[in-house]
Amino acid sequence: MSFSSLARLSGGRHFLLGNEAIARGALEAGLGVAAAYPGTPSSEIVESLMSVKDILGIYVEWSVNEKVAFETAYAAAIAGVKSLTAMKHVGLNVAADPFMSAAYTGVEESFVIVTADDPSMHSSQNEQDNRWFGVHAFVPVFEPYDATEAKDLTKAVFEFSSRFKHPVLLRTTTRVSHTRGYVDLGPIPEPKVKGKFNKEDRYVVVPANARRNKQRLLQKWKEISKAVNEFPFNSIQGDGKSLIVASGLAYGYVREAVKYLGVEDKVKILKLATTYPLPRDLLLKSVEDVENVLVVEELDPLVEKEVKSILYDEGVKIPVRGKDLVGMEFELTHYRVRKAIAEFMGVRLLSTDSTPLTVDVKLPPRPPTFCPGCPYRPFFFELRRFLTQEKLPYIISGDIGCYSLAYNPPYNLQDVTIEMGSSIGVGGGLSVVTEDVVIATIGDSTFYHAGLPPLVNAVWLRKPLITVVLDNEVTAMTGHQPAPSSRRDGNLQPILIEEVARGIGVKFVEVVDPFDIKKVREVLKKAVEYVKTNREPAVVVVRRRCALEVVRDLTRAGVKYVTFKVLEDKCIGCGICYDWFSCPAITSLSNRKASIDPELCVGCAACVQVCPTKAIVPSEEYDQEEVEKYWR
Amino acid sequence: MLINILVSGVGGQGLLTLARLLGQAAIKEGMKAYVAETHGLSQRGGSVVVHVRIGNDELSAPLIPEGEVDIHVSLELIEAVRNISMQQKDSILISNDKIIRPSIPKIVLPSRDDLIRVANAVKHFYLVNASEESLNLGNPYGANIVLLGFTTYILSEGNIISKDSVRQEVANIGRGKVREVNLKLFDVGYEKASKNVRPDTVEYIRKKKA
Repeated sequence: MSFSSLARLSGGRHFLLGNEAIARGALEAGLGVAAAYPGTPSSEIVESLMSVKDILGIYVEWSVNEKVAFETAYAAAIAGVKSLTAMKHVGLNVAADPFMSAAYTGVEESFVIVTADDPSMHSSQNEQDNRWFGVHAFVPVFEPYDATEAKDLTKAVFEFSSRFKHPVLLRTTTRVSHTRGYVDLGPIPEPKVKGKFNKEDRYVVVPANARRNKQRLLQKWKEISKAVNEFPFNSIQGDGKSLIVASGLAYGYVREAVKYLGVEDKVKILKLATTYPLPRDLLLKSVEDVENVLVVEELDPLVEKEVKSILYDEGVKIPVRGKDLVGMEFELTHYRVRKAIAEFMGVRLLSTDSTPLTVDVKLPPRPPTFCPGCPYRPFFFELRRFLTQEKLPYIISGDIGCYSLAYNPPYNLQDVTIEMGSSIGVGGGLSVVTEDVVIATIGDSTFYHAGLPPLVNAVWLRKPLITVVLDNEVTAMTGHQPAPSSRRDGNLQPILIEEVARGIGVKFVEVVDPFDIKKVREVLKKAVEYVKTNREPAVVVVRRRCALEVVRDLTRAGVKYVTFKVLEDKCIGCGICYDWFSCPAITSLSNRKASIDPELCVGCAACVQVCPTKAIVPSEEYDQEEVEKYWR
Repeated sequence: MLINILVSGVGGQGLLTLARLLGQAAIKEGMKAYVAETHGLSQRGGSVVVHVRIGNDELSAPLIPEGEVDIHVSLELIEAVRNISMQQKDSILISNDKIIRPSIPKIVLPSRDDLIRVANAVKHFYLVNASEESLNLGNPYGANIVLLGFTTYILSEGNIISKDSVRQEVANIGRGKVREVNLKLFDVGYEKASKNVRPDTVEYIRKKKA
């Protein structure tokens, strides 16, 4: 059952993603407002809330970036409406400015900030541990260990936030956010979505008020530090001379590992859902009669440092182990936790009674790639050809989104990519300090997220930079959330990138369809020429819809689209389509000729024009004009 | 009781649906289950694995321990072999008879025969022409449901989850024609298993249940 179909239900057990469980917990707590910018692994939280906004009458928005989302949700909370914002770990960097001051001002009603961290960097550029943000900003940090707990814990942190009129940080990691577990549904109260903002000095952080805020904050922090001792999701389990402290997801691994190692009767577990501030009294209670301590947590040694500090304060002299046994980088695995506990407990970790399976064939790697039908593929195909054939010295300043995949062969077209919006900022810098042709490639959603200020900067300071905005009219990588560029989003008016560019004074602005490869080449050539001659920015908007959206719409509308096929007698086996155009739907036969897999082809027809012998044709007749309407 | 099922394949092949339906059916039957999914960047045509764990209250972590996979269901042969190290020799491997070429220039693919030879080292290996069956039923994207049907036979004969529970979950997705085709795909997979799966494979799962 979909999340929205559960909106009117109370009771019953359902199988939800951790992120859906958090959304459900927020609704059961009486959420009125939610705002976010999508980012893996956080996206499904607000996506779920979005799917029920009309049913429940709550206000939910996809904002242009995490900072604005944070501010929107903060505004609700200071006006007395329970709110939530959710973001991936690096998203909190973008929202760090208001985050730091939100704890100073406090709020009026619940304000929950969800940070979804990504250990092992499944979909991210770093694996920063955002619990440090809590330490940095005096915001308490909570961590659920699975979906079942996530729902109830979310509800509880809303209450906690309301009680102290203080923002709280709910931290998940990928395996909590993206693992399904059972969730027992509770009732959803009638949400309060309108509030009243009471004007108070604390909300205006001029220095005189900020000083008072800081003192009030420290006083509140004392109360919060005390309250976490009573928080029901922390517990001491079992008994033994050794204590294992496990926070969030680590608890699940520890629980299974002690059983696996047969040391259940020898260890006590301190299960933590509040990792900062640490429940001091509970910790001290748990170390009574204990000879040694092991802290297991995902990523950085935050709990470990706190445990050591508290025990030192109290004069408790017992060894505390942690990252020295568990390791600091990447996500936890059973093996890591078992090995750490085995060493800590002085027991042998038996290797499984395995007969290892040998793989004596060489397996090709399979990195992620542009989907079949992706409008980015023909653009990067032509850009690659253009740069190679013209022998241009170039730097591609890349960005975060599906187009980051152009880093992979055969395109190899991302030379520097560090964060959202960096393509234009870093590209602008490179255009000043190098003699190369510098091309920034950025998606439409990312452009509105963090690309505008650096483009204004480049125009103002006349930087010789070509900015290519790959506009598929949606935030595609994270699951097709709308962006200001979306032309098909209900009653909202799209904000066209070419108009923005012209509005801020870019004189060279061209819009091109990436499926028209010839035109792409023409425009690129003109842009390079323009920047060389005029030493000022050029903007090229490459526009065509995300193929996944098109296929979805075609299917929903029941419009027939067909797959394509290769005429074997016409194919000369040159390999352009599978090696250089590199569509996953096109494969090579043993005679080097091409063949199209009907399981993967979406009928976009982009490959037709790259074939030098016109060997690619539709597999059957169809209404080309009608289908094309969906692609545009 | 604890059954670890690894689902592998290529992003976009419907691994998540297969895994979710299994987990959902287990929950409905009163068991505990986790399905650890892969989203975002890793989904775009790259190698993907999904972990399904079905058990009782002791189950508390999302991932399957290295080498402890009981049933490995793969939507693609190269991915089946890539993830074979997650399982033991005496476990189960069910793979779609399908090779998808990674879109990398000048790539050399291993031969189907070589891949099958390696897969055959797993005692209970079943090669299923799920993609072909799916195409025959007029749905190019239904190999996942055929394999779900195949896997369900083993799980239901092994007294883990009943056929009806899983079939009901399949019936709950989509309406009309889509629903009809999905149920047909499921039944084709189930039938295939009932003809091909050996008694010692079912026995292997029954022992896990005990």
